[in-house]
Amino acid sequence: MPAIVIGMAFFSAGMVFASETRELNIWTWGIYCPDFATTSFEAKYGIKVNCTFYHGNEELWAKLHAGHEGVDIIQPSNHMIHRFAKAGLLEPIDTHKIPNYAGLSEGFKKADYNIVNNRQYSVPYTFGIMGLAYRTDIIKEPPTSWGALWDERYKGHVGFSRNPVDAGFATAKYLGMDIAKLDTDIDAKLKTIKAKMRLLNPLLLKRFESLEEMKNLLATGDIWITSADDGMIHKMQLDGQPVEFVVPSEGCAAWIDQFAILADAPHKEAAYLWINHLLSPEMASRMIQKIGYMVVNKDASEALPADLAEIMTYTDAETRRLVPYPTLDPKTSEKMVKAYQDVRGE
Amino acid sequence: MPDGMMDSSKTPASDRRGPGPAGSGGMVWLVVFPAAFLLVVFFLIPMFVALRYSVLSTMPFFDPDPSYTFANYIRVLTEPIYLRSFMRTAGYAVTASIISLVISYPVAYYLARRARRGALILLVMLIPFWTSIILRVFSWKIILGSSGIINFLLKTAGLIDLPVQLLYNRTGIIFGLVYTYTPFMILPLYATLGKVPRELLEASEDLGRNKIQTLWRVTLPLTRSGTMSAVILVLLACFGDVLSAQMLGGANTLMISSVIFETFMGGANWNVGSALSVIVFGTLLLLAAVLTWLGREVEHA
Repeated sequence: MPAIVIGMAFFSAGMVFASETRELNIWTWGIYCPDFATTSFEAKYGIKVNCTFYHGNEELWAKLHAGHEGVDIIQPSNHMIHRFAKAGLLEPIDTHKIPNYAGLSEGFKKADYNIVNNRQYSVPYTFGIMGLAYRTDIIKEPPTSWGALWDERYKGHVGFSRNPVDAGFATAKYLGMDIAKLDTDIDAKLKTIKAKMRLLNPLLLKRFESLEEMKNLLATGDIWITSADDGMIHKMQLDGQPVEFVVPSEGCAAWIDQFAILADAPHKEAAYLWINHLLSPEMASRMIQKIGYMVVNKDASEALPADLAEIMTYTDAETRRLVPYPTLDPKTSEKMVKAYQDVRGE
Repeated sequence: MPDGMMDSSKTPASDRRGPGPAGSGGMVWLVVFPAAFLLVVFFLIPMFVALRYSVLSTMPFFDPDPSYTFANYIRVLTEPIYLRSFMRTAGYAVTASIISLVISYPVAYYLARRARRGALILLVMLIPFWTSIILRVFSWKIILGSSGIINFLLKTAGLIDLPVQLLYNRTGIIFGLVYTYTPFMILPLYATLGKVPRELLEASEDLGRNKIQTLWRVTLPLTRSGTMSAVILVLLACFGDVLSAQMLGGANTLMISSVIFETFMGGANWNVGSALSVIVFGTLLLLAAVLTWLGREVEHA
């Protein structure tokens, strides 16, 4: 018991001390906190960076509600900003405090997803495309459609996302639905989506829990074709693996990960410094090479090394088939989770 | 919640030697307090929180004044997915427990009765537990994989042409569950087998029973209660397992622990998730009680 009391005293002393020191607390995806970024930031500003990782946007939403004392920056994807801002969790962004904001590609700067009541609540950072990937040494005719996942010839070697929303968007696009309008008539649409997803059950080897797992399954040849994020495939290609990424003919969803500052963040000024630091052309370019996803910085994306530029550049036709992750009613997301459980639990 | 379910398994496995030596009440409290404190803080309080959430229409942080309802329970009991996942999990858990018991009983018997350094061998068996469980479950991916050791041996022996699918299906999950929880089966069995008085075994053999008859008529009945405790421990732990399900399971092996996890973390519905946890917890508590009753030591057997 005395040990517990002493432990608690230390803990609370630590908390008080923490808020007075120069530090920054970030909740983010595992890939956005590499050593080169934190060490250069600490050297430049003398502010210590603490990163805590989450694995999904909905997990972040749940975590924020369970308590977010001391957290400054979060990095949700674009479609979550409205929900977070309306719940009063976010601080409006003052872009004047981010000099490097000027260097971002125009198309990403302001969009429906980050404006609520005429105020901007997030800064775009990276974007990723959720299409198809396949093993070029095993599958000889390059797939062009989502339908390739449903191809009987690949039975037992097909992968698919375990994430209900990702899986739902992929199936909806294959069925020709407009994923931006999923809120209307969602029950009827989910019935159709579920019927299609069920046909996939006997063909699948695994619904991957994470992109790392997908990468491993592709690398070992256990899966030949799968739904995939482009960044992970780009990294595999750079490693010389025989894989290829495809933007399906029916189109697919693309997420845009953001920087957002929490309304009750204790270190707001440090938060702006971090965002500006990561958006500098130098940091952006190193980040692209590290993670395989594109950072929305113009200079960095135009100055890519040749090998990266070749695999990371999309044609105009491909770009036109991309649909930004839509902002959906939380009820719709909940129904998608339940629908996918129904399919998986058959 | 899965952690909570594992904790529950400890309750029925209580020792039944009756009240301890009559000492000073203060000393007993001092010894009991840390465990009781941990149980209350990390188990009882969260359970009551879940109980409250399960009868609310929405979470308090969405609406500060939510109404009370049974809709969450009705949904869990009427939607087929929940019962189906529970029954699938029960199938895996029972299979894994039986396999584990068949493996563990002879091992524990050998360690407790035959081996000269039983305790030392037991210690050596526990050494892998110094490694992270995630790492150990992950290593099964390498062993069972299509180019793993088992498939390599089978292929080299000429028994198969194409690799056997041992991963990402029912087989993979059961391998994982048996591997993870067998030590929890062996330890209580070792303890209970060690308590069987040697004189009874000698008496049985003196009276002309052979070894198998002695095992059947003396050892098994005397270790019934301890065996049941071990089975309950492993069975309930299997229900709460997430790692084997996620790492070794396949596309169509959804287990109830994953359903509960997603219903919370997938942003779906904390109230339904709470109702589901309460129902699963209640069912498992009931199951543990029935099994404990079945395993009770019968007087004048």
